[in-house]
Amino acid sequence: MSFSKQQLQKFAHLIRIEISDEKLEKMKIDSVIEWLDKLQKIDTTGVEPMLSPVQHSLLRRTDVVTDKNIRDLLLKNAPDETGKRAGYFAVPKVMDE
Amino acid sequence: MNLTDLTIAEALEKLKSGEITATELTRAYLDRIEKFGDQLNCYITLTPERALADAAESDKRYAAGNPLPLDGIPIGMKDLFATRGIRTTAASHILENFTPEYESTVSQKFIDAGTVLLGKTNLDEFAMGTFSKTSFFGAPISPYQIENKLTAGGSSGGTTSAVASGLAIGGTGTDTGGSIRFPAAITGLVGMKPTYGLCSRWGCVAFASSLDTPGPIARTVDDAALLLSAMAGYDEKDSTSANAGFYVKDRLTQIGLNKLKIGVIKEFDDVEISPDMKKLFDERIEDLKKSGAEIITVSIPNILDALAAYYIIAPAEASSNLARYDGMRYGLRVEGKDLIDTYKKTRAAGFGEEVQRRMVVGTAVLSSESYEVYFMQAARVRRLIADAFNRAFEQCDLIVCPSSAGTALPLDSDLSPLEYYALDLFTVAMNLAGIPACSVPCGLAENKLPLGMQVVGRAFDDMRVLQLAKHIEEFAGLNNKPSEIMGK
Repeated sequence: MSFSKQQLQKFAHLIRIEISDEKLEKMKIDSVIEWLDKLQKIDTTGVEPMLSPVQHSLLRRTDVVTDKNIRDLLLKNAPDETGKRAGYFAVPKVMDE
Repeated sequence: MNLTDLTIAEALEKLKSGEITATELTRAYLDRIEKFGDQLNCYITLTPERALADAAESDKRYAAGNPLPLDGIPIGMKDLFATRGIRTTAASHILENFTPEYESTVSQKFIDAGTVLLGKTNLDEFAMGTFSKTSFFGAPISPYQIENKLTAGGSSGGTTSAVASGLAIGGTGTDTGGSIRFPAAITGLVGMKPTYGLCSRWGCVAFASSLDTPGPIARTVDDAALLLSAMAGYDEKDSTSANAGFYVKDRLTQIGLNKLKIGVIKEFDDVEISPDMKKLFDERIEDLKKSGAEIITVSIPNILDALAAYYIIAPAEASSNLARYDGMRYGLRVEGKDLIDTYKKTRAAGFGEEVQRRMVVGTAVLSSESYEVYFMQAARVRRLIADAFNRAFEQCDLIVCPSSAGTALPLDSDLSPLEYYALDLFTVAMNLAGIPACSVPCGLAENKLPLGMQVVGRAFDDMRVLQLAKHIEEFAGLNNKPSEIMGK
């Protein structure tokens, strides 16, 4: 399978990374994808996909709060200082006036 | 006595007998880091004050007669493990100033075992790479033939550079597709990728969650076993953590080679490897035979397709895992004209080229038009490979194979992305299957650089993997004393 420049730009948009067309080209994404195509020739009819090597069933625990009152700890690495001082994460405006 | 030439097992004996103190040992490492740290670039963040404080506590416990299992052992921690109050970067600009308020399970277990933290070791950005040169902080180098500036491998190249040069007695790595075994092999060290689930991933910066495996890097197999004993164990904070443990008291017990059935993978015969690698591998096989082991050929039919399956699955998982770096709650933020633009500018500035490449590839293989063709097909090939290993282990106890095609290359080698990916050829299949594999030195090549070979076992047979690796280590007899590698 090969992807057009537009498709690659769409993927870059989906993962929220600004990449110029020149840089995308330099990344040689197509040569990587082309190489991945070699898997197509393998007959996997009836094979169950393996998404994890884990063989045990996941354990359950009671749904209770295990930590609390850690607001300031969570805010310590916040990039916006003004929000941090006021006790919240400040983010860019997401709604129009 | 050169303190930085001691193995962990030797240092523990001397600490217990009172011949040396943890503070003396730690100071010896800090002095050597002072001398060679900048040149090797193996640490991103040094923690000398923490190290001396750890050592002082350790000495108190020795004096009181109740030392912990690895009390006073100075280690390097791959800068992928979150350490409370100590910057944790994943070698990325996006986390350059991130200081976690929590401790990863693995690093906590090392604290509980009494180790001394020397610093956070360098790596490829988010562990994506094989030369550690995708690091935002520049690449570490190997102490071998230092004037040639050879790679210490990747992604755990900071730890291998530090341990091989005597700037840490041992350390941690993580292995997603070979990131412990490849760098260990080309720096003359032992690198163990345990069974998936044996060591907790909690607090370890995620790359590809179904493949990421924390493990030890050390100069001897016994040392690797001691470090693994501290790291392993069930963790309720990691849902993929297994109810299993690993424990060695002082040294590994011997495994008898007589009648042990050891498999050699047929399909790897077709892979071009250096004449040195072939010769050393064949010599070690002969040694095993002479000691009574039975060598048989096993087949893992799709093992040469493991690489392509890996380079679909790992980027797919990474593109999802790295979505969290959005510049809102922590990490770098680059302001844009609106929210989406802020995300895009932040991530464009924060991630390096290889990380961006893998995220685009990962998103491409997960897109609606290619999900079945690429991602699910790779997951099916993964099943074929895991099943083939299971069948092989019905015929043999353990499997051996090379760790790499050849010795360390110069750091400035100009390889294409696909040529870098090909370096993982011998290691990725074990991550797909989730089984344990240890790279152990198998000798020196003509160019006087070390080579390694792997011992592979069935899931949770980590003990026997290390026990066989110990025999190979003895056959090879590689001298990896840091003072002799560096000539000082």
